[in-house]
Amino acid sequence: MTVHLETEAVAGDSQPRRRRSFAAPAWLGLAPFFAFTGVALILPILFICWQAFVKTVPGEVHRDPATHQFVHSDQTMFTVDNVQNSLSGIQATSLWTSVELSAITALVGGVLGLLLAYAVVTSKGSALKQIVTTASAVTANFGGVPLAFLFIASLDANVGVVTVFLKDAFGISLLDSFGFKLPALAGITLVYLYFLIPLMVLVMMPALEGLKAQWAEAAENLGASKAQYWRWVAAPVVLPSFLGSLLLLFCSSFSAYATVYAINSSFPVVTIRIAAVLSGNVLSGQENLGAALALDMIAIVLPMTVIYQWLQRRTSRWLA
Amino acid sequence: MSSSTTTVRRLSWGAGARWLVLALAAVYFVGPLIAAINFTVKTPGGGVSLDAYGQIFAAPPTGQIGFVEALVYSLLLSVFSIALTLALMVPTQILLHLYLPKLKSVVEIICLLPLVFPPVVLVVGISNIYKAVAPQAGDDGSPLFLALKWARDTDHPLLLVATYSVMALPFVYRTINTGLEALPLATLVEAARNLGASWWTTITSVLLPPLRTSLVNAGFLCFALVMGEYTVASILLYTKPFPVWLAQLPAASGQEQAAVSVFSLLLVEAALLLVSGFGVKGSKKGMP
Repeated sequence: MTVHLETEAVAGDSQPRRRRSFAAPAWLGLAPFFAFTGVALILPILFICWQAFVKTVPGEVHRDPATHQFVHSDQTMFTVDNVQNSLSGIQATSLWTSVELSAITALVGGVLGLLLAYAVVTSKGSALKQIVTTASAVTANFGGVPLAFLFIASLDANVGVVTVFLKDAFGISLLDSFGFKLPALAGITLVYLYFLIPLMVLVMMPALEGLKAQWAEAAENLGASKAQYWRWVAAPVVLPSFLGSLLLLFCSSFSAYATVYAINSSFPVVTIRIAAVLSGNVLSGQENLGAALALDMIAIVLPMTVIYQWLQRRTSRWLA
Repeated sequence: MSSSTTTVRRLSWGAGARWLVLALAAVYFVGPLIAAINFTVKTPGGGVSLDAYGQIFAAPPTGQIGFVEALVYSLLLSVFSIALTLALMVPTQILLHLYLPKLKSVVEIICLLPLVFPPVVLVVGISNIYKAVAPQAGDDGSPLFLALKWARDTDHPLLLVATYSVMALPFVYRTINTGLEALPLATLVEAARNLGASWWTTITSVLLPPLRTSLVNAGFLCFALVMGEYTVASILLYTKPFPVWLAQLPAASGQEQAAVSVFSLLLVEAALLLVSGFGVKGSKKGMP
């Protein structure tokens, strides 16, 4: 800030005209950004909000004065029907399954990711840390169709390598013994964890590394037990970051589409429902239903993102 | 010194628990990969064959595109998306840091918006706008529709490139911001300008070189996003991008699906190792 003020002052003293002439171009320089995001980001969002609350109905029939034929023009009217529709029937089921799947995967992935991150942070070798970080970066970005096919090749009920092996070697059937099916909630959870755990490791490692050894020393010298150290020193530092990361995992899981679609294209999650509504061109008003479903998603993701950002800011104080 | 090591040891786990966690993680993360490789090379008779991998490069059936064409299509998509995002964000963020610090928070909020609007939500908006401006019967279509239709064309899918650039905004903003904050930007620009450098020279020769790491990092994240993006491309009915092509391989050839998946994972991994060779740190997906 000081540097900035100084240079402005210098520029202002020696070349007052040049500095003033910057004001207008600097504003103009942001025009491409605002134009692009306005058209490609803000406009689609506003259009969703508009479409979610309107419906198109045929207007009154009247005789065209020129051709003397009966015509009717479409009318657009405000309604909450789309939103109500998006919260009932199969749409409600999909939303609920999505929330359930995301909550389970976030919790399980969060806890397992925390354990893994902790195991890595407290180990002595820096090579292990390097390997896990790089591997996490790759796998956290490895979602979607290829991931689904890896798991199908491993755990498909008929041809999966692991399924067949367990059946041939031990006579264990994943379906009969454990009720495990890849295209069901448990199976999809197992696949999601493949990219959620690494994501958790990536976001939790800095927070865990922020637990300074001096704090543990100080706690011990003051006579704290292990439980007391965790309760009063470590938890307040790690907890905001942990809770924030759970929200991050939830949102990541909630907006996933390709992975679950490749495993089971009829699994009732909201993203698959939206895609189905959009591609079904037969019924009128489907666009409005799609927009309402999209709005439902926003209503769930928006508060989580805001809380996540807030928690991140809180956490960063300790990690500075 | 010795007291600190004992403390740390006392307050952390035993070695046994740590190695158990690491071993379980290794099994979970390496297992499916090994299982899938096993799946792709075994033959019905119990032998081993690499035919599934050979099929990846075999000529595709008439009317369909092959592995290489789909991969190149996605590569080009990612190149153009990276170019558009960086061309937009680098000058914008330099301007913000130099002259318009008050607008930084506005731009930051806009750049973080795609975190709140998942790809499937964005694509609802795009698809619905497209349908809303579509011509009625007997109409050729308004100029707006014709422009959108041109941008949607599968030969030059500007619509996809623009959408991917939007989806990349959150992490591209963060990466460039980190790079810029580490620079004495005002001093560099003032020095260069006072020495008579043009704005173009100032940006390309003075500002971009120290930003190289940030830019490569942003570019890689964008690359990873586009190479794996399925939602937007499939809902907008593109068939050529690699993930869409992979998904529509006939399920009967499960071996080929798995082979292409393994192969593409290894490709992405090689790319990441290559990039980390440039001294770039690991990526962060999702919210920054």
